[in-house]
Amino acid sequence: MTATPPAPRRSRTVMLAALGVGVVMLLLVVLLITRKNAEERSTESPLLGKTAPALNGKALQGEAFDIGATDRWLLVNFFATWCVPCVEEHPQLRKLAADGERSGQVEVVSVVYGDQAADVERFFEERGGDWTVLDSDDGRTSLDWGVAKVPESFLVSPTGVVVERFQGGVVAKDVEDLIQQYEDQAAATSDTSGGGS
Amino acid sequence: MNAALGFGGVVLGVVGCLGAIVTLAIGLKNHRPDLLRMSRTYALMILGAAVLSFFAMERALITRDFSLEFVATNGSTKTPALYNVATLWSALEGSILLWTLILAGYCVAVVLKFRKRLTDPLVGWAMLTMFVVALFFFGLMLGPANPFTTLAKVPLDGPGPNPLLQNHPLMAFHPPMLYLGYVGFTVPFAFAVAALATGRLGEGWLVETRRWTLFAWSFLTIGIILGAWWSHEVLGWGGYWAWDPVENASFLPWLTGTAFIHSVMVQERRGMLRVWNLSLLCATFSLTILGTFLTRSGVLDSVHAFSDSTIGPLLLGFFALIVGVTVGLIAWRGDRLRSPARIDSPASREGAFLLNNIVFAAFAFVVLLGTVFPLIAESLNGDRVTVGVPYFERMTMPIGIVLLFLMAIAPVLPWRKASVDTLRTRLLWPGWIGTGALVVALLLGARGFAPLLAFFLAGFAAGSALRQLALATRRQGFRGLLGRTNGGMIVHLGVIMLAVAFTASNAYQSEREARMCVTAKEGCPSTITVAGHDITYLGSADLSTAARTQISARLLVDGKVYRPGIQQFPNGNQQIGKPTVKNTPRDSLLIALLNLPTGSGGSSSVQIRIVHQPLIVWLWTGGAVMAFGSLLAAFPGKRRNPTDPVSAPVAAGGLPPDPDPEPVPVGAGA
Amino acid sequence: MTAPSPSKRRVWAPWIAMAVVVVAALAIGTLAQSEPTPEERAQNLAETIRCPSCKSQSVASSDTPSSQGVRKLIAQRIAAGDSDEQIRDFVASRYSREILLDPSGSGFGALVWALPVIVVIVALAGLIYRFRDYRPGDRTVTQADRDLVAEALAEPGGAPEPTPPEPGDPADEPAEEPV
Repeated sequence: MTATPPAPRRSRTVMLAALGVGVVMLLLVVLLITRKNAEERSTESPLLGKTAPALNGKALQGEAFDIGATDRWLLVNFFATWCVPCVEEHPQLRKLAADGERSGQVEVVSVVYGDQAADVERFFEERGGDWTVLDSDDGRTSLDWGVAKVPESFLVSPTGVVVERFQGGVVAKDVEDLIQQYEDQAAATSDTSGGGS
Repeated sequence: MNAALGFGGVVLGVVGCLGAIVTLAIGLKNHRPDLLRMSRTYALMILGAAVLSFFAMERALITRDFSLEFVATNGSTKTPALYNVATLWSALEGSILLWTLILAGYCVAVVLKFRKRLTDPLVGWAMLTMFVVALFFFGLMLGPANPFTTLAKVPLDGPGPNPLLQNHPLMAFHPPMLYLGYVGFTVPFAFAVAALATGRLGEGWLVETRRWTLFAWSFLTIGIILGAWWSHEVLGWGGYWAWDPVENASFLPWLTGTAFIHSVMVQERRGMLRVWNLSLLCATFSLTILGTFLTRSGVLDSVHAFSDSTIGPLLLGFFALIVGVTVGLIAWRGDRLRSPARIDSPASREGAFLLNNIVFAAFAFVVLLGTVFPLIAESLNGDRVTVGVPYFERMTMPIGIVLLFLMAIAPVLPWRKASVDTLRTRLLWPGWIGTGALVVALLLGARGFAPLLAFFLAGFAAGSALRQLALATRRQGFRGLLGRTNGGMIVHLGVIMLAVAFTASNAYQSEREARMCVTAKEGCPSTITVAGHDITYLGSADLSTAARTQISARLLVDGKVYRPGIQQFPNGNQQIGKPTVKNTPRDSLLIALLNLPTGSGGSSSVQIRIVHQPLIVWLWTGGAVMAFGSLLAAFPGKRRNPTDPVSAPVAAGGLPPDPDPEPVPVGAGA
Repeated sequence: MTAPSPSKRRVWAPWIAMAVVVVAALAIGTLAQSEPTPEERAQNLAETIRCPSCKSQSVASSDTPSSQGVRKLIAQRIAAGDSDEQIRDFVASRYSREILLDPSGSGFGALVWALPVIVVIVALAGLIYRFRDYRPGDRTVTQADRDLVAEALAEPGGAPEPTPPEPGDPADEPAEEPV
């Protein structure tokens, strides 16, 4: 008589384990496919919504700056003369400064990042622009503001709160539109709250 | 002309793959051996196609044919000859071309090796799988990653490859070695799928593909080591492994491949762990595709990544397909995979291999988790976290210690069960060698618990390996160095060298920055001493060539002149450093320029960085020892009939085993 | 239990000696470690902070202006007496927590440390559970087993030849004298 070895049990563990692995891998695939490209991720900063750090550099152009003393919107711009996008954004800054002068609404302050005073002075002589330019205070200012790469700019509200961070060159119109947006919002809330200071 | 030839090759490849798939599918379904035999023709056809495209592209690069968009964006009249050839794999489309060429080569190799068994359905299924993979890669070149697009306006010159990719000859060798490894894993994967599809899960096919797996694994090892060596020589920080997502992606298949090489021995000897081994093979291949995806999409931040392109989603889709198919097959065939044997005792060689696999699986899990965790955190929580070198180093350390321990114990463990007496006698001398290593390290100044423990276990493991080799050579002379076990011991020695070098260079590295002048001044010496090496600044030198400008500093180090410099390539303003490395068996001194030398002649001064690392050379030599050991391991040991099953095949449904299994000619297969 | 016999003690003596030497050496090596110098501290810290303008390098292995700034900051703060954690927190407060190269031990980031440990423990526990009640002596040979063997031996092909052991296989080494 032929003896038969015992029939092997249908392996539930294998099937369940395989399906489990399959599900995890599928989730991984979904994760990877929905993830935006690394470059496109929005720029955030831990400074947003907080009081702006001090600007303590020596003034290379204009006068020493106290960030609490102004009641205008402030665009704090970090730049260097060797940085090509900074050179490209310079006309935009000039436009913003000129418009701001006229409207009394916004001011531009530039902070030097990793550059020499002489080069900066020559840069402004060649390309114009007469807003306050501060030196880097031995690099402390850019560290305080968390600047990774130039050009980088921050929009500071009249109350001294950082509201926006721009990585890369700024466009004057975008900044002005944004200021208008915030002003409209503030006006709307002060209306509904029935008057403000 | 080049574009037409090249693209013609791609089209021919696609047609060949499609034809092969259709032919083999019909042949397998209708049991037509004549159709199955045609896989040889098709394999030769796609190899011809790939070779044609490859040579068309190389010809375009060497003759600087800028009508091809690929050459116009990556080639240049000023790059030297070797780098021109290597430019092919320095950019995305060309790398796919190289992959396809190697894959076609492997198809032909399989067809030739199994030429007497082409009519066997298992081989048929394996070839079918390989043709499907080849179709995918040829298909990529047909559309999204086409290297042969032409430009209407032919430029006069090109920017040349990325400067970092053309300032060291290792660039020419690292990718091809890596690809020989990656692509090589397609072969055992194809046989795994074939075995699952045909239900023939006895041990025969496994032994036949063991050498293919080992071959691919050794090239992957060499490729990774060459990459580390290149980083060390070129990047100027003394770093050689950054746990970068792309590096991790190449490491993952290596980990699962190593786990497989060990656990397959348990399957051969005891018929156990069949499900696990199949899963490992499928995982290894899937991970190579995942790695290809990570390198070629912008999903993870990496310095290695090629530019973002549309082939990302396609690669991911292919990965999903492979995972789906293999998971399905394993779940379906699970009933046939139950092993009749059991582990008798944890203190046995099976137990050690099982633990080895758990540790490697844990290692792979850690690396994979660390790599994708930022993505998970961001999508689940909105948190932006970075998982970088500190995480991986802290996680790798205990894993490394456990692996060293296993390497120390496992070679002396017998199969099935070990007694305390056996272990006590066999491990004594290895233990003393470990103790000696520990004391020597302590005397040489090593401090710190983890590194010292690592040195102890490394000596211990070296002792076990040497003991094994000594016993084998005493019995068999030089033939005692051949075969799986002995070659494996040599590979272990290489791994131990790597572990020691890794520990020493990480724990005892020191760096220093210094300003030096030709004529010594206050705060600017002309000679400094770093870790026992004297460095004197002699002056600057202009070492520019037609391909790039280079200003170097001439430094006298221990009596020999070294010239680290800064290079600038014509395609951009980017200045890149070209450090020099002085290697001795004891330590390495890496010198990089921080700035261009200022002044000239006697008033010249320069700022340099010096990185001192002990035992770096052991990394590269250890890698060579590993490669040599795997070559020895590929030799057959004392010849036994490779296709005899070790355990009786268990048929589904409790039927008696086939009394007349299909005869397998002796000597066929690896 | 009787005391271990003298021969047994002699047999274990070399191992005990080895253990003493190893433990002593490890103890010396661990305890004789000197405090990290400020430069070493700075280097270690720098290796855990990502260069702000790079993709994944640490400030220790990058020469960008932002990295140099952070390295200078680290040196200043070490000189001012801040602890490692304080310095890391300060940099993270300026650049967001993403700048730190390893997730902190609390919050969601802790998962990346905990998960591998959990997985290994679960895997080991699973294996122990699976093999816990297997003992080699439990199998009894039934008549069905004997019939199966007889049938296999009687088949035309015969049983496969017993395979010679692999060279280097410790199972067939000559028995060694106890040391």
